[in-house]
Amino acid sequence: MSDSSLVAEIVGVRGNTRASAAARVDALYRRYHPLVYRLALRYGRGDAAWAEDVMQEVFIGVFDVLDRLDEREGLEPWFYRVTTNRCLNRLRRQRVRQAVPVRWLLGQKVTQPVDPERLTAARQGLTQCWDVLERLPPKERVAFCMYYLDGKRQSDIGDVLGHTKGYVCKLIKRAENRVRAAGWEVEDHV
Amino acid sequence: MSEPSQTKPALVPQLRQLDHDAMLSGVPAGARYRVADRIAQEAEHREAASTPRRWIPALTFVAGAALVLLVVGLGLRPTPSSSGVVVRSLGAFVVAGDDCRLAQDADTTTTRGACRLSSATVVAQTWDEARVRPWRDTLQVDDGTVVFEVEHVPAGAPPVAVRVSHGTIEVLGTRFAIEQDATGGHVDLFEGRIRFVGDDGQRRDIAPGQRLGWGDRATEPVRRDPPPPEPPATESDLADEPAPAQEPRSERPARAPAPGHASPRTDEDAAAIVDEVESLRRQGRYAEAAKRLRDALRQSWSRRVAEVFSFELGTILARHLGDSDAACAHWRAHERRFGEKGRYAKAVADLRAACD
Repeated sequence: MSDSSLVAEIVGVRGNTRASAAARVDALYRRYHPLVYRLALRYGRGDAAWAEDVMQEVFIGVFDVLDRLDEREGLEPWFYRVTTNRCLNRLRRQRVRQAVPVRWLLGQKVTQPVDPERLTAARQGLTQCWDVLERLPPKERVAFCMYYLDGKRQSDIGDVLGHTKGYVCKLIKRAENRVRAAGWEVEDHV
Repeated sequence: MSEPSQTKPALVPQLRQLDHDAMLSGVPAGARYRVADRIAQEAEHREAASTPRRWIPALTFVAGAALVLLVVGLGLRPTPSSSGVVVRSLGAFVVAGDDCRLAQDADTTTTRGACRLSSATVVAQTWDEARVRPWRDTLQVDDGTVVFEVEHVPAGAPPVAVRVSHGTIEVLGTRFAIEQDATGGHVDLFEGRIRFVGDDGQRRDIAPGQRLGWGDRATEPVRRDPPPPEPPATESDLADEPAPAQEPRSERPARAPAPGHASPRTDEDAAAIVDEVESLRRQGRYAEAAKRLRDALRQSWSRRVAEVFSFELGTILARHLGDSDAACAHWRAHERRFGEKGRYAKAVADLRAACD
């Protein structure tokens, strides 16, 4: 379904006097949940449960901003930004919880969730790149992925993360250095 | 630098491959339906939570309108007493009073507390317990003390009548108090004109200041207070009063207390007299209150108590009984007795200046 057809669907739903917020959110969910899930799965290191939680948070949060959403234009940039920030916040909280003093205080051990898809990826030998990504601080990880995987410009990344273009450039450079320090190259050299 | 970089794996292509795989595999069906279900639940929850909010403005409006109607309705209703609270009706009377309580027993109604019973022409006031019942357009007093105020009855109109145990009191615009018990009672007339018509048909007119009893208290009309020849609150009254027991004046030797009152009275005695006088004042029985104070001043009191009694007596004489001669004489005696350092010296000086 294209954006225009979705907009028509949503407008039709809004035009119905009996239309509820549930119907509008459901329409948005059906259109944008693949995008949200893919981003969440990437930042969540392939953890399907983690990605599912993020997806739920994003669409539950839509209820709070439904009246302010401008549905006449495509909402993909909005969902991209919201999902990225949700992931960034979760990664930060996760990083704090996984700090040694906090784990000691909470009496928790580091446990990796058992996930069939992660096991599948491991069989394919691709999980190693997630390990590299895991070493990056959350903000560097997000900026790196947005730049290299999503092809965003540094100014656009700055808008999403709330930083200047210069700071985004610095984040990306730091991430590149960490990747190289882990024994990887960023891109293929042709 | 180029040597090691050729052997290193490239990160971004592998990440792109993972992204691509994730996009091809899509969202697992279980996750998709779980989240959709959770969204539906959230929508229901928010719908339910928002439903009462829509009622809040409506409920607020209805409550406000009801309050306004209540206030306007009460404001338009004629109230028998500006200060009282309407309790209920009793015959032609509306009963009011802040602490008035009614108890119904067959035809008799017992009033407790300060009650004001109002009809078109008669206002009856009770303070302590009294038992009354509707009788014709007015009341029958069965027990207790009731003070009546009756608007002037036009000439030719039938007199207002109040029923008591041994007859009827016909009223022609007046203010009087009835005290009744099981065996008899009496009426004190403060102002106006009343006539007692006994059950035997005998008629006796009562003049202001007179008391007439019936039953076990049967008396001919006798003048109560202020008695005509009585020189109330004169200088001699105060001169006869014993000097204050605790602070006898040095220039005037304390005289012996009156017989029967050899020892100075206590503060409890003074408080009892104050309560009694206050009760009489509330009932409009100022002459009796003045007499009670005058009698009290003949006893032995502390200087402080005696001064309070004396000032109270002068106030009643001047303000309520309107006897300016007696009041002026009393203020002169008061000044002589308590001097310029008395607690009411300034007020008394002003009042006495009016006499001069």
